[in-house]
Amino acid sequence: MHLKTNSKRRRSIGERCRDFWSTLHKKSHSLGNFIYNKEHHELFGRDGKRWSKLAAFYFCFYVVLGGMFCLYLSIFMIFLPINQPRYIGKDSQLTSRSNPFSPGLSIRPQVRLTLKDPLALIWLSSSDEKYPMNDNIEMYTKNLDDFLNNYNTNAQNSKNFTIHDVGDCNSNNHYGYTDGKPCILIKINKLIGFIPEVRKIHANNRHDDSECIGISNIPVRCMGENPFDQDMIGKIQYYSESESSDVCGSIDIKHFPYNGKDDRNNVYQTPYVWIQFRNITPHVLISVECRIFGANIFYDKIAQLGSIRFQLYLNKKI
Amino acid sequence: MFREKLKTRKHLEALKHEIDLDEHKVSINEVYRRYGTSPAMGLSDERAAVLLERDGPNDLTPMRKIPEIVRLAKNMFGGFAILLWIGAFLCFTAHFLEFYTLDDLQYDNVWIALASVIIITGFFSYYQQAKSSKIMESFKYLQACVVRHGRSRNINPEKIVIGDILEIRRGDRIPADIRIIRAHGLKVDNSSLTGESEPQARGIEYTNDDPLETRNLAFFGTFAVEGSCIGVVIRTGDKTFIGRIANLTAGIERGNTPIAIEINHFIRIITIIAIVVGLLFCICSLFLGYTYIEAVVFLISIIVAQVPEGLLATVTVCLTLTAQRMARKNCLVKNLEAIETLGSTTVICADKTGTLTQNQMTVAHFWFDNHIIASDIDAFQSQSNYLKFSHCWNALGRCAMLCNTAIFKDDSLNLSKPIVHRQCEGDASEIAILKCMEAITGNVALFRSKNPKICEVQFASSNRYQLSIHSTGDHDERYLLVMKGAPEKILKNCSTIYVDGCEIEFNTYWKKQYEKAFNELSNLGERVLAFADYRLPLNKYPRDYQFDCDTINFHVNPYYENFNFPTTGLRFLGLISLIDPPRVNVAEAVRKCRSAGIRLLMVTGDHPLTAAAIARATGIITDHNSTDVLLKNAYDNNARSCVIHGNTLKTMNKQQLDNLIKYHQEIVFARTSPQQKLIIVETCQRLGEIVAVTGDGVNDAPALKKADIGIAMGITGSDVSKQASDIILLDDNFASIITGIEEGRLIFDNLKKSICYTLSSKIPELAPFLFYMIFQIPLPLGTIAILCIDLGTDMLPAISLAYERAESDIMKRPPRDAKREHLATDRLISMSYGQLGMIQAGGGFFVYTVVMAENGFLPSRLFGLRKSWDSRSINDLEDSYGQEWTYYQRKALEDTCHTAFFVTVVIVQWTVLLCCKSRRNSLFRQGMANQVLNMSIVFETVLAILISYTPYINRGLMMYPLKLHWWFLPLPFTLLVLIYDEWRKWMIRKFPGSIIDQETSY
Repeated sequence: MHLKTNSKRRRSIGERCRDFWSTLHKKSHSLGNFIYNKEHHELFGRDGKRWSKLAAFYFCFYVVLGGMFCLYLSIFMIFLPINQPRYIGKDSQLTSRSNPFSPGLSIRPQVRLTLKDPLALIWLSSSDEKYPMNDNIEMYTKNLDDFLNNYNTNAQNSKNFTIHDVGDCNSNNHYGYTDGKPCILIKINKLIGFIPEVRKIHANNRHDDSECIGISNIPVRCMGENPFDQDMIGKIQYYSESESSDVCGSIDIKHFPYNGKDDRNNVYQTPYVWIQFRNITPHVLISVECRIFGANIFYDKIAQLGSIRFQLYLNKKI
Repeated sequence: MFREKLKTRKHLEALKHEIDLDEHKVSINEVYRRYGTSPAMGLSDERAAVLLERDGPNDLTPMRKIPEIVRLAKNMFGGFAILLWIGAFLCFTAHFLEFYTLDDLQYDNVWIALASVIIITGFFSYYQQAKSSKIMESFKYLQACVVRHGRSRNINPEKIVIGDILEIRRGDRIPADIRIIRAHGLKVDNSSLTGESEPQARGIEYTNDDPLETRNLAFFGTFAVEGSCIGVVIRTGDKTFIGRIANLTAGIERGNTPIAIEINHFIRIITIIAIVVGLLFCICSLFLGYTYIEAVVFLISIIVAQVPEGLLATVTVCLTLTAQRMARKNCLVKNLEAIETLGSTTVICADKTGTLTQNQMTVAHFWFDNHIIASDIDAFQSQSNYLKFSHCWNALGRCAMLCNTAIFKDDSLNLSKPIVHRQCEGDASEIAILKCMEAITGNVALFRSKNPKICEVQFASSNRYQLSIHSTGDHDERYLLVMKGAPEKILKNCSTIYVDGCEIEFNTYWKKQYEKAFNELSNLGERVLAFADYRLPLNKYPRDYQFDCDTINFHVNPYYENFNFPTTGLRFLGLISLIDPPRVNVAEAVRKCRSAGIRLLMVTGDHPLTAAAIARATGIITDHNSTDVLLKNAYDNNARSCVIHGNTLKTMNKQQLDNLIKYHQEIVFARTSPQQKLIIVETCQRLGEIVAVTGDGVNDAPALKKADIGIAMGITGSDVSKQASDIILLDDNFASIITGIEEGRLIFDNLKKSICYTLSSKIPELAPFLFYMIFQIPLPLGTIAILCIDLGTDMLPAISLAYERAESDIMKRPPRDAKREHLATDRLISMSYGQLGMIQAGGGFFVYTVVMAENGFLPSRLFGLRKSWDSRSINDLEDSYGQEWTYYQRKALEDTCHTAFFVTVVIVQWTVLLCCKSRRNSLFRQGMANQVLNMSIVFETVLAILISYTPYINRGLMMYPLKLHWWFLPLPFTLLVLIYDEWRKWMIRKFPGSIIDQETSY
């Protein structure tokens, strides 16, 4: 018990310091005593016997708890469907108040993961530059090679996907990256049960797909995000399954829907479109947005639904 | 230790200083000279103005008030709030760190939420304090009559200056310390100053060295209950006796309340755990390859998840609820924390007058016909036949009614009240006799009018008797002289005694009988009055005889007894003894205190005999030895009980005092001064006791302030004592203290339960983050959800535990050992973190896994997924079934998981709450009678439903509606908590001392 009878009395600084040190000493001593008590051989207030008892108790407790957890979870897992998740489409969390049931787009190559930057950056530099950016081209090529590996199956299936006319966009050509004419692969996200519908064309359509009128498939189209980007982007060539065009690409709806795995194996080949930028302006960062258009495809630029954005940078005019 | 001693001594010196006045010793003319005044003329207005300018108004400086803003700041930044502020600051920092490094902001508004919580709870506690302190209103007194410029006039008492000549009349509150110049039967009620219950006679003569005892001084703040006087002002304002005590009281500071110490201890533990765990994982994360900034954000997140944000509010609300409950029982709590202090009290120092006793003189016994008869109505009824025919009783009753100047205040409202509550005018003992006779005979006023008073001699302290002469209404022509007074005085005047209707000689035998009765009664601590009467022979004193009482002359010279009628040779009738009786419930309360392991010390300014008698009557002393023996016990460490006179106390050194209090169980301190009260309290505190002091007088104020908890009386208490105290008993009932102790102990137990409950959700809040960091799974529980638990669903259940009834009879166990029994023990933490928390976390992870799996992410996919999951540039994250999720789609899934985890915690908390209801008893024995708690379970569930399903609210809190069956997934874990805890409690009850008992009973 501390007695503070007369607080009004002033204490000198020396006295205060002495008090402080003495209490500190007392406290550290009692703390030291608490951590290891030599007298009773106690560590943190318990001796070896009590510690081991406590450890044994907790060991048993956690073994039982962990066992119950695993048992409960495994029972639950047994009843999960094999090829499709329990909730698909509108039942699953793919559909929520902010996201309607609609696929996003994605691109390949996809190499760098950044938390901060929402946009993928594709950076090209020529080999004679001293920048160590040369690795990028190898990385991009490898990434695309890996992705396209899935398509080299021998099994014949009606749903197998191949583009016959790929122009420069092949592995031997390093997908055009060495020439400064990069090929980007665009695909629609796989969603179980989702079938895109071709949009009926209206007369006064203000949308960007106006130039793709008449295509009976799902059109794919890339543009500079801003007028400035549009000026810099140059000529774009689309290589689709059905044709190659410089107006827009297309994806056939016959590849849909995706139906999940077959006995936990991937048998589905995702349809895609090659997009080649033939003469982009170098030394300028260009923002590109690619979109697909369909009656039931929802477009959200920020959430990247029905669209994908990325940036291109060519270091030197080749 | 040395410093303490020095301080105490210095402090005592200050108190001794109080009585450094000599105005009572010097001659009255010297006083006039000193203050430049004269009894006839008084001061001049000019001089008075100068003096007023010099000394300031005659008013007590209000107790050093803590500025409102400081009090508010104390609530805002004291204790727990500071930890929360640090948390808020850390969140703020984290917010900026994330803002500049990561895109995914978790902490955007958390710091604002935290800050608002602190501010709201701060204002809440401040409001509570302000509300209770508002009741303290000091009262102003009316006018004072002073002589200035030779004319007496009424002025505002604040304007009184030293040297003023004051006229005091009966009923006045004395407005300054005065030296009496002239007095007419003046009696002052010093009870607020010294604790003496009886009014003290005051006159002009110097009788004692001690200013408090001497007759010629009267003090500021006391009341003139009888007579009148003229006096010269010698001290004003803060220099008065009471003023100095009040100032001294203001200077006393005491340490923290036990609950504050406990809460600080708890905060320390939580802080250490939070920081140690945080640093540990911060270092781990560096080894795991995270960047420094990420590691710092982790550190902050872990610390924030560990701070029980809602606990500050919970503790305040729990204390407030108890305070309200106590207010309903007439216990006004000024300082919320004091409630718990009452519960851990080990020693109560009780003042006698007004606390243990009623502070109202009452007739206790009669002695006549050689019998002692108790005065209560029951005794009278059982002996009514005997009384009806006893001539002696009739004579005594007649004498008691006639020789009595007290009257009931004459208004019909007052007269319609029960006798006990009627207001009266007159001396305390005369009032007591009046009330007693009114109760027995029915109508004293009528009897008096039938026996009109011819002449009277008033009571004076010098002659110590009063007499009056009446013409009686019983057709006896002779006048009747009745006399009442101090027994030894009356005895001298009597020659015969009236026994069994015969008037016989008052010989040695009867004198011995009288002696025996007198001793018996005074040993009971009672004040004894003797009664006598005499029929004046008709031949000498015919009907129209002029009695000359010479009253005026008598007052001037009391030794001059020149009556024209005899005052000796009277007939002795009997004795009436008076006492200030203990309050009705006190004995019961004392017994309860004792069974609760609390020692009761009586500390009073009263006489040892009276004090001991009351102590015996109330059970504070159970030793049957006589008081004289007890008085000698002071130095005998083997004795259980003792009575100590203030003078003995003065001679004791520190060691002896320690021994005195350590070895004697039952102590009565009599004739103690304010500083001695303070010493007693300090000694108890030095011995490690938690001391409660009850008191009503100004003299108690320093002790009240010094005590761990001061309890003042609401009706009889003085302002100073009320200001110095923490709790005010509005009905002055000592028994209310027992209720307070019970509530205090209960609140400690319940706070413990509340803390156990609150802490149990800390692991399920922390573990998701650790898994996120170590196993790189998508975050299972977000910060907003953590705050939803801490500040939303957990709040009401934690508070509802304050309504939990006691597990066992908490008044049958000894008080909490402040050194060993803590609010938060390692066992509580181990229990709540290591066991209950782990089960909850298990439930949470289970539901998280299920939600993920049912949407396509099987557990095997989750490990190591964090980086891709949180990367915005990946728009096609593939799940176990090949579906590809955009960033926003998977974030919606993640938020759904947060919601599910949050709901799981709520649902598992149902049974955790039920488990926290009792610490040893089975839930089935404890029952579900706590309706608030039952409601709180419903409330938290409804709140969780609202948070999950209400549009806009769920959007704001980043929650998503859950599928119905996800609500049922945690139920096995809910059940597991209940089963485990019932088993644990069963083990504790069945095998006390086993490992389970040792390690899990908190």
